[in-house]
Amino acid sequence: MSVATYTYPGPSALTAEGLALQTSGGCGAHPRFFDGFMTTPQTVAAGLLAVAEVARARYHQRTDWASLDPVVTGSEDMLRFESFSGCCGVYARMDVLPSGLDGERPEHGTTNVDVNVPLQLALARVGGLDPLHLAVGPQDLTVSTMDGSVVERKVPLPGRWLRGFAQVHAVTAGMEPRVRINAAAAAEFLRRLPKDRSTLWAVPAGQGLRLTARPVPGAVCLTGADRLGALRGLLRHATALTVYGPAVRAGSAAVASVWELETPTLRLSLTLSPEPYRGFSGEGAVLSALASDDAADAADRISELLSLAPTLDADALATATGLTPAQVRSGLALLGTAGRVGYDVAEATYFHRVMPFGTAAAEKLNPRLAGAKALLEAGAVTVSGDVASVRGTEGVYQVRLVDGAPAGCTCRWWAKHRGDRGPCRHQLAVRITVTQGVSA
Amino acid sequence: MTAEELLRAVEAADVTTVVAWVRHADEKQRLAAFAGLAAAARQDEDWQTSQRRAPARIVALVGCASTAKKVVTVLHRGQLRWGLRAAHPGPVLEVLRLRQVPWFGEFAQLMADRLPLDGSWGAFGHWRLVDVLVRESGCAVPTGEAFTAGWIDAMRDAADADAALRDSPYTAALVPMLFTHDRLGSRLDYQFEQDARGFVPALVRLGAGDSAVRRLLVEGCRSRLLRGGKPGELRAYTRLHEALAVTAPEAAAGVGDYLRLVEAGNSTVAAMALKALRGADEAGLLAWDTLRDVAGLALARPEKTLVKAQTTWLRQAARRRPEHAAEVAALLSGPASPASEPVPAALPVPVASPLGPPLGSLAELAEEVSALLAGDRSVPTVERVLAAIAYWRVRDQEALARTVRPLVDADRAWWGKLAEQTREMLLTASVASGRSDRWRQLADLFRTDGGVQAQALRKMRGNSSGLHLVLAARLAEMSVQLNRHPVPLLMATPTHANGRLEPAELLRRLEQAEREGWQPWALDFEQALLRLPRETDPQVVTAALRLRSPAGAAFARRLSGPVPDPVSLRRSQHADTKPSSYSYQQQPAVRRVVALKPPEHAGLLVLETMTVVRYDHPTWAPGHLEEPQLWTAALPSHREVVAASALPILAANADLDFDGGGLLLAHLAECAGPVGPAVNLALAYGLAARSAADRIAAVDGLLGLAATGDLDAAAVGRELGELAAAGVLKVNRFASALDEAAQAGAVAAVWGIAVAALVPLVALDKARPATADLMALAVRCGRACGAAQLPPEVAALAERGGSSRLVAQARELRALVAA
Repeated sequence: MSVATYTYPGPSALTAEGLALQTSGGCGAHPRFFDGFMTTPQTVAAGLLAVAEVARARYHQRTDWASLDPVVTGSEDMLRFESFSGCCGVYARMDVLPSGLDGERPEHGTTNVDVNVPLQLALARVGGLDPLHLAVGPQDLTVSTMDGSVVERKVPLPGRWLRGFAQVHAVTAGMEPRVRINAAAAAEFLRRLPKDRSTLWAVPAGQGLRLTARPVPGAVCLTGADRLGALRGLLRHATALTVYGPAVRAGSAAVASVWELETPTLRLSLTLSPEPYRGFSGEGAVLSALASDDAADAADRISELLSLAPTLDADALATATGLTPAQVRSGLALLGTAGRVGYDVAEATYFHRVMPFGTAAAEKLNPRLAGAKALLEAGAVTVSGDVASVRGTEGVYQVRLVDGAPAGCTCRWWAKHRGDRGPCRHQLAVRITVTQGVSA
Repeated sequence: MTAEELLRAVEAADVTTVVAWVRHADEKQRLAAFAGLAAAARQDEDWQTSQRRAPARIVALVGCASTAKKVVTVLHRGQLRWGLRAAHPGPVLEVLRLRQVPWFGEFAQLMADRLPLDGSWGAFGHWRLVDVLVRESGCAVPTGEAFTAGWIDAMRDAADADAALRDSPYTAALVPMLFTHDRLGSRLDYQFEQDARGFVPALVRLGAGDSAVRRLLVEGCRSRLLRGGKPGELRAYTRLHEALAVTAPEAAAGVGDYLRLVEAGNSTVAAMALKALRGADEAGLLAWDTLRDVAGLALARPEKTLVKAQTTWLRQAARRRPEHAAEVAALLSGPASPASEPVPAALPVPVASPLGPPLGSLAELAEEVSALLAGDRSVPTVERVLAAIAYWRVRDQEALARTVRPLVDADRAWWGKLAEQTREMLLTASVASGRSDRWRQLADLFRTDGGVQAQALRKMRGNSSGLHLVLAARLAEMSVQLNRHPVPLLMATPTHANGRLEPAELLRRLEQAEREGWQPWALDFEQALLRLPRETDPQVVTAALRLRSPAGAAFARRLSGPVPDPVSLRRSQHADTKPSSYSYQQQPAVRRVVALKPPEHAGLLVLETMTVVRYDHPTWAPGHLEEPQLWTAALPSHREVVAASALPILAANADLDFDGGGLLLAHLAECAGPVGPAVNLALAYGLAARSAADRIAAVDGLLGLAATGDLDAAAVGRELGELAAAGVLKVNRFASALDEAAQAGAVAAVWGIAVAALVPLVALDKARPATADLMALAVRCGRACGAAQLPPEVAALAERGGSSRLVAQARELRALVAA
């Protein structure tokens, strides 16, 4: 496990002059993204606290603690603050909309922000309706560093944290808005959430939401309802709650969901993994795409485009690059492994993130892909017609092929998840064998 | 003075020799020995050995290290990290002193930084070591979370906590840290006792003697609560705040913070803040404008207790400030967060989804079998696997065996009747030829050629009975018949995921059997008949009459005659007069269950499933409701039977606070058949279950039954009311479940249930808690669906005097009906 080192020119603070957030890493040592006013300081403060709360939280197994600072991205005219819970099962993002910012356009780039204890306290005390000055990045680098108040922190950077960033955009890209309710109904719903961890489904009922025990078309999955706790702080300021999810039908297994509170000036969304014990890091939603050959090429072209226009939808990307939708998907997947792509469900667009962490090889970050490559190297794959057999750790598994693509396996992992968490290593190995066989 | 001697001393776990070695060696020899020591520490040792050698190894490593960083890294590597808990601080200090290293302070700091935040047994020894290092090196007091946590433990466990706190060199530096770190709540809370010894009381006494400390504590509590967190993490701070007995002037100094806590804190924190503000107001330290702000925030809170506390406070305040009486009245009559009005809506009729296409190939079968073995017991998986195995057994026995065998071999977990029988059946399918001993034993159980003996079927069920074991019996039959009389298709394979089998499909299968000249397996065929719906297309009935085989004739008889149903007998069970001395053998005072008398001339399976005997006392071990989907899939047209079988389990969810299995009620709504006392009771118990997930499933069941018009609202309400009046169900639970159902649109149904439940409840001398909530729900539903009638008992309550909320709601209800 590598170590992330945060070096801030000083602690972030809320003073009479305004909120000054300090940055570390990204495009420059202490990049400066924004300097202007927040039109609704109390709302932004509540949202920032929620994002920081998720970064500090663990909703499953409270063992080794890695508290990573939130990441801020300036993209077009918005500021996006993102964080992952320690268990990697909850992803929080606050998008401060153009209406919430009054100042120069935010610069494009990504960095960590320091949300320290005194700042949390100061944020909790923010009241009043007057605009407050906001600076993301140091006021004056030389002055700040000269007085020697450099804040340096080292925290372990688990590979799963980065992998989570890689998965979450792929998981959310297929989602549609399912329900939208007003703030009063949202407050009522959040107040009555059960405390247990069973898999439940939210469906519209009257003005609000109701939980049901089994999936029906239009329902949104909710497991580990306590994971929505971070939304409560912003409820007072919210105008509506929108819930996003993939299409489900009767008998569907648990899926991910996005819960988004909206105020006139910002959106705060929590993306929940299908079940509390499942971090986004292990969801495997991009593995098939990564296993394809032309991913690297597509990734380069998309990356070029995104650095010019930081937000684009999938169709626009396909048109602009001349790639097929499948190629765009695999390119985005590869970019995602380095955390360089995010997806905004509210606007259905991808946005560019310049992650402050080095891009390790995709394989290293995806053990299942590495496992598949190991199987290939060991010569464990034999394809015969519509069935391939793979010699695995506990015997020979059978991978079924439909139209030349793997559709199922007999290993225990696949038997347990049935595609909910992406393909197993045996199917990945077969996929690579089949595509290489065709290209060779 | 060789490095080998040192290594040998470490291996012998001899601390004295290690110290002597370090003393006699020169610095060059010491530094040279370090690499060898570190390498030895990395070697694989069993746990016992590594822990035994740890104290000597730690002293040796510290005595030979060149820098603090290096030694700290090695000390925290592998199992040695745990050895730090048993380290001997004395010898460690001794070698550090005699070497006079310049990095002593740095070493202490680094050790403090790497302390684990762990309160488990032995962790204190680790802290003790760091504590000694910090004191002796004279470095700055470490302020990390783990060091603070260890300090809390040390202070609490000291013989005299007051003296320890007063004398500790860390107190000044660490008290502020109590409110800076996020995860110290549980440590502060550990062994918390209000006025006994312990950390928090000692802290409060320390504050009593020193106003600066006290200010630190009061402000610290407020700021920690303001930063928020999970209720469990904050509890210690609300308790500390309580123990501090914050005075009115102190509260007045933090009005802004308390105001924010009333607005955004969790219910406990908000109540605490409200109390502090009220104290300040009663001392005359709160401005009217502030009080108005507080009242606005508190009255908008959803918690009834907070609103009540604020209301009382405002009434008192108004007496003290007559000039603001009008404003107070306006605040109190303001919109008190109106519960959203339910709107009647058409409810979706529950529809069973189709089973899905049959498995197309052996490869697909292999995957599904693998899923089945991994625990997937959904009806489509189970039934499609059984059908495909029967089919391939006839079509290509060898290929089937080749497919199934590796999966059965790899299977490890197979406990429980169902898994056992699944494995047995798969073993039969995986054996191309030849017979196992187990097979012969089973074959003996099924002596007749086609039939299954009643005794055998009963054995399958054993003690932990449940309708999911009908599948176990079918699997047992399959294990035998796959070899004796293989048939190309099973009769019982349903057409829908809820277990229903379309008559036209069964007709087609029977026609095929007659054409090909084979007879279906007995249990399989009986299950098929039990899966038929209650209404049949007349064309199918006519066609069935043309069948000639015994099975065909039985099918025709079933289609043209009445569906055999058991007789439901409602029983009240009462707790034993002498309660058991074992806590797990608790019983509810009264429980209502349903016994079933089977129909006459019934087949084996019908007889077995439709005989339910219930005794006079409620069972304290009702068992678990495993795989509810298999219960309903066994009897998709007899929901009363399913409900009667499950009643003790569902009842225990409500009257003994068990949980699990509530999902059965959601499945029941998809089934057919008459609704009787068992379904009504099952629904009543489900709506009052302790676990929210079980109640949610019960609401699904209620909505489904209401949609198909099968809900007997009055009967469900009566059961709820009577059981709640008897004190075995809690009104608040089913009132909230009914509220959910009303919000979903089942307004008329909820009105019917609520009013019927109120009749026995209002007859009580002392109303059960939350009866007023149920009454309020009835008012909302009555208003929304235009209620026309009210039972005389409820109307009589409205005549009663008094200003209680219950009577007020009853008056409103009467006015509603009269209008």
